[in-house]
Amino acid sequence: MMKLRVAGLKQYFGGLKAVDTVSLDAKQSEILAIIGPNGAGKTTVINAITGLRKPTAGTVWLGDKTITGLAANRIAELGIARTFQNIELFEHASVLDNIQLGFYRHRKVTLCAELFNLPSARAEAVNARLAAEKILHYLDLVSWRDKAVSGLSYGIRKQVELGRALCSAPSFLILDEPASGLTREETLDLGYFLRDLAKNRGIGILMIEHDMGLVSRVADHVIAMNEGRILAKGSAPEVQSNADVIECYLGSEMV
Amino acid sequence: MYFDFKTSYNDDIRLIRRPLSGLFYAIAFGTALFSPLVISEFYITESSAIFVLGIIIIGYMISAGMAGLVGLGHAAFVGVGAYTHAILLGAGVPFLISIFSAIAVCALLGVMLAVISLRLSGLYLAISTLIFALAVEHILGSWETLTGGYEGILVPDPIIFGTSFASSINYYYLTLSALVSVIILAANLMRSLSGRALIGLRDSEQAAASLGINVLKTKSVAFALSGAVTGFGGALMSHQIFFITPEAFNMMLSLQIVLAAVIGGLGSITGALIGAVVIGWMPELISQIKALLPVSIRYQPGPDLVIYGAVLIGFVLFEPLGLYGRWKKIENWLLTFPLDRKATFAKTRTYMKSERV
Repeated sequence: MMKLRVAGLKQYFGGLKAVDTVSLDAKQSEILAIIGPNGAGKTTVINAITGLRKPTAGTVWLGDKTITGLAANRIAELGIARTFQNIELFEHASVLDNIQLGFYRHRKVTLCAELFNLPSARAEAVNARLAAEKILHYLDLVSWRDKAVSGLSYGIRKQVELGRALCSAPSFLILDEPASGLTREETLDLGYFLRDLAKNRGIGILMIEHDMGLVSRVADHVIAMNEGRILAKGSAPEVQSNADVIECYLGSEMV
Repeated sequence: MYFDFKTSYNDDIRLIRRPLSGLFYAIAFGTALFSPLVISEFYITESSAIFVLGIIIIGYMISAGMAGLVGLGHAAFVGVGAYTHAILLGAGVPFLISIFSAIAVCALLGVMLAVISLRLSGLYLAISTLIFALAVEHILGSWETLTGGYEGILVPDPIIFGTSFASSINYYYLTLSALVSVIILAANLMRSLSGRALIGLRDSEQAAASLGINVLKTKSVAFALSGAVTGFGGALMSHQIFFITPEAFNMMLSLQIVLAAVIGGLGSITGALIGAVVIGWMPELISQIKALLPVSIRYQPGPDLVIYGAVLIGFVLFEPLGLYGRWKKIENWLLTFPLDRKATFAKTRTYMKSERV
């Protein structure tokens, strides 16, 4: 069982301490949710984990390998997939092409083989397609397969982005607000997918989410953050009843 | 109403996906193969010029259309390709070795340009490639010991294994086979994972990186491939000009390449070819238009550029997807008739994309 560990993570922008000494443990087959108000530093934490920004201090381990400060593509190759808060899809490509690109980290053929369309390149194209088709069926996106992403509804685009991350067969999946903008039904479906991915497929999930209903339904552990620090850790009910968390969301009672 | 009935994943990977398009390609290729038997010398020469232009524009399409690295300096690759080829041929190097060296030099030049402009995008990238082209043109003019400076150098006849391809009909078949090979290579690239990685790079660098795509490396690959193909076109082009000078590879040529790609439709091979045909015939068209102008401005150097500019603006305003995009709409109408929907190609709302990750 692999772990994704973060210890003493700091991310300063000049004088602004966006993330100040955050430590967390995510395990495979488990869902860890990060909650917190806007500007709490949640996205900054996952950007530091996935290599989009080099942290000021702190260490990130994947298993027993240190991955702090590696380039984003190296971290992706090691099996950490992510989605973005403001969907980052390849707008002018079809749903199928988007999802197939998730397979990129398993690419084995050389550019030369691809240019001359050698048997190895053809075999890999079929493999990528196979992987993508499995995802399309799993997420029930088959009817959108050949549609260009730019014309799809918000909910479907979120699904496609999740599918693209899944197509890389990651050991850890990092989701930035997967339920934002989804309808109630879509959120319920998402909850089912997340449970299934973690419990039946052994993927470790780290997600930022504001929808407390979804969080309390699916998350094994919850971390509440505010102003770059961790306020509380524990199960969903524990965190929700934590006095600091209530104060941060609702404000303190002035007596 | 037409349905694609697919039975295997290979149906989507194949180059010829519909029986009808297979027929179309066969007719096009057959026409290209046999037309020199019936058309006049003038049209044979013109067609070879268009084939070479097609190669150059496909080269440009790889970087601008697929990877979204819109440059304004592709004349530099044409020039370096042509000069390398001409100089090596002049030194007695066999044709095939010379042309592959020209391709290699241009690929290296592409990597060099990529390294210089790796972190630039959009307007800044366009400017840096523009300056790059100006610098290359200047170097070609100033390095007199190698390039003969602004006086130019003579390009020896193309001779492959003892057969001369200097006659217009032989040269026609030489350029046709070159174009077909380039089309096949580009099509292979487009249907491979690397090709999709280029598209990923174009649409979202962050998403591409988070899927394991090395952004810097992939950009270099895009520029290298683009440079190689364009340089190949340049090397072939040198045989049409006979006597090459740096001025043949100036801003105007870069502009024509961009124009052709936009008119044809960025991002597709068919579009590149359509663009090549249009741009290939543009000088002819312009001279026809000029004949209608009053004598006082007919012989001024201005009108050409104005007409090129007007055409470019027209396309950007009214059909940004180019002639190929227009054809796609017609094709869609035909395939879905009578159930076509007007809204299929209506502009859909694009969601805000903030700079924040």
